[in-house]
Amino acid sequence: MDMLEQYRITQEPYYSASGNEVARYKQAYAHRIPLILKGPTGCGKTRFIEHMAYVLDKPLVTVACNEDMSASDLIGRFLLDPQGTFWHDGPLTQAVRYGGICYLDEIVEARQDTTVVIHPLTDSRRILPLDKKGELLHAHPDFQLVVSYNPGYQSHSKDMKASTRQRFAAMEFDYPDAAIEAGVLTHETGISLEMSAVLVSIAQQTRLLKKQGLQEGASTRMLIYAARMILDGMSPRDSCDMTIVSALSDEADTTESLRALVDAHFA
Amino acid sequence: MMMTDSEHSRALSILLHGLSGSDIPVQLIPFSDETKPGVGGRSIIDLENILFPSYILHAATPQLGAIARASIAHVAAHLLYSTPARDVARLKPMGIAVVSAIEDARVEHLLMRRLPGVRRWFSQAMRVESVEQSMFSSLINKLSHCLLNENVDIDDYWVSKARDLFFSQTAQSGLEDYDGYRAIASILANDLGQMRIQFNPQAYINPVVYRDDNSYLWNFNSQQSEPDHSLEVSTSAYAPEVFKEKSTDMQQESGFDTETYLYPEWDYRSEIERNDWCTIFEHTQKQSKVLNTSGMSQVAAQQALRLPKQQTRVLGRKKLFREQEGDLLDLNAVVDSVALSRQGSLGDERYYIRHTLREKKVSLLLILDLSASVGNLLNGHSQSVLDLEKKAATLLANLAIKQGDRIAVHGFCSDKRSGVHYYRYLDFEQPLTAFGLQSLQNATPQYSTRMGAALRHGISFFNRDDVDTRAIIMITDGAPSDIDVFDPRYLVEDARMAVRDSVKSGIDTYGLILDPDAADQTVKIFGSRRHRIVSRAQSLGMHLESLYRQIRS
Repeated sequence: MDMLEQYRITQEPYYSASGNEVARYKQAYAHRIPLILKGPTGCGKTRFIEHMAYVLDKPLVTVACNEDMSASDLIGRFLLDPQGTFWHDGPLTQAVRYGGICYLDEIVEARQDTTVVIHPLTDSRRILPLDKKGELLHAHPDFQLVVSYNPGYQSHSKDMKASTRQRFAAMEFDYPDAAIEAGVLTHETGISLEMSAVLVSIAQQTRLLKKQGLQEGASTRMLIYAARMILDGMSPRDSCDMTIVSALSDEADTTESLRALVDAHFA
Repeated sequence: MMMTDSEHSRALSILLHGLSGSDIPVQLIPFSDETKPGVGGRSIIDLENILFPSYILHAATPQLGAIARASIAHVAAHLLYSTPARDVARLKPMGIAVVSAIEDARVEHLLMRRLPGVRRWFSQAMRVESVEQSMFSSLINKLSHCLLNENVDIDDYWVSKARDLFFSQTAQSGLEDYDGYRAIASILANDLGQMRIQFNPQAYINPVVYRDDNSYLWNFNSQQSEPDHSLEVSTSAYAPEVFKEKSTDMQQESGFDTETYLYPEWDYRSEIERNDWCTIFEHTQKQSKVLNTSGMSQVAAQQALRLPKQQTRVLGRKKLFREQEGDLLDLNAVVDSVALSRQGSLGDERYYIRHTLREKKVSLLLILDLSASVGNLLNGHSQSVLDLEKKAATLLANLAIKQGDRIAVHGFCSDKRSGVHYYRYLDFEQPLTAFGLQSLQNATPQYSTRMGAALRHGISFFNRDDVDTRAIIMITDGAPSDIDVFDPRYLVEDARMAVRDSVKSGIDTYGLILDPDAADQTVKIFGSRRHRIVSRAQSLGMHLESLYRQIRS
């Protein structure tokens, strides 16, 4: 029985390549080199890794990292039942044991002392010691570790330890070119290319405001929401107001300017 | 919801940035008569700031109304599509005004082509009438109306000719062809000359309220020989004055409120503390000033105007027992739980140990030496020590606020014991305003370095603090000195005593010393552990940051 059956991706996720990232990833996977995917929120990092897992026909175990996450949440822990204690593999251990791609999304959200558990997995040893269980797990040949993070977003206190970071090769992502992004939007939602181009233009203007009032500009994901609302019959202004303007900021001055930017796009 | 002036200017800056990609900040400029939208100046574009007349906001709706939006869109259009500072060459003032009006229309059409919604803003804003009614102004006003909207009814031959020329030029060569439009403008200006239309460059102001004064487009220097005819005089004459006023203000310290305090001084020779020996003049920025000049002078300041959310750092871990989730099993709880379940009842599932984090906070006071010697230029550089101090202080303030720490930036200099001047540029819990930064930038080096008094005053700002780490960093270019003290050891001993006082109050006081030769003296003051020599002044910022990180860790 395939222990990671539930993690297999059965339908091809749509991904429009901006460069040679697909070939580069395949090569990294061939050598099982651990990878960092860097890039702003909603630019397609997660979609890319799903696409690659599908293409390579490997299960994808995704963990959304957060500050409260402990090493046990990755590795596993003892649980109790009426007969006594039993060991429960965490998501990382499952991927290591049965061979899958383990994707730690937004890794810097996790505390640095949590992420050091991946160290022995990311060098030539490819092992995962399960101290509490007394087991030394050798990684399955199919196992690969991929992490994502958003460099502009984190503060210095939330950065990757140098000793963690230099174990990975890295791939940089950014929002695609306007034409590609509009194409993605049209493909995902079925909205006209013309409207896609307008939405992308709005997004590009908000991305200029990064660090000037916004932590992040509008993501491709937000545009997809906007497009879906418009297709449902909502006016483009209202749709953008809901999915972009109000979603991006709570500050009166910033939302006011964002609203004007949206307004400028519609006659 | 009503927005404040500072929110307005921020909103306008953001809008401009989005529309044009330019991060030039928008500053609101108040005018004396704010009630009549046609009276008063127009916006001014320069490379540092967009000066934006505040009446445009006040005359409009509480939100960013059509005129304000149109104004910013117009500025964006110039920034995107106009070539700045073209030589006026032999253009007469009337010619300049006509060429500017045609250029205004051309760049607006270019922007409307990209962003169709701005046409509505321009059309709405165009309805606001200028008060000025000279013949020439009224013609330019009509011209602007019909160049924006081709279908406006026009009863004037010259205006309708202008419209035909403009739109046929657009159809033939496209909006990018500046020279084509310049040629049209020349024809039209020539016509006006032949029609004997009067033009008074001193009184002329762009009749379209939302547009700028067009000084951005021209370089008037080539016309300096005949300044009387320069359009610049009439339109932007007030701009340099605004800045002049601000800078003289700072020089004379009239932008500050001053209070006096008395502090003791330690006399090592007789080993006594002389009570009320030094007089501190504490200069704080006037509150009204802070509000009036809420415009932003630096992009960095703009980013920092709002305090970001505080970030948590680990000071220590605390173990919580009998938790539902956790990393470790709580053996006592496990035993209890197993015992319960063996008895047939439901076991308690809270049998983990969990770690929680405790937050660590830093309060940091940076005191800058403003004595005359910091004004000396560094060898082979155009910068002085003070310039570097200002730069480093601004960077650190930004960094600390971003990290969620409390930071204050003060400065001092002394003119004998009866006149120790202490400046407060940024206080704890205060946002980093452009005005605070500006007043720091305007600080001038003078007098001497009576360090002890300044330190004692600095310590007083911490009294009601209850944070984990409290620290003072003093940046100075040498050992303390003053003109009424002849024993070099005297002020060193006094400063040493002040540092001791700070330690007693739980404040770590660090010295960053820019003169290696002073090390023997200053190390006595701060102690070897809290004393750093910056041998290359240019690396002050780096040293300051690393010291800050050390304090935080």
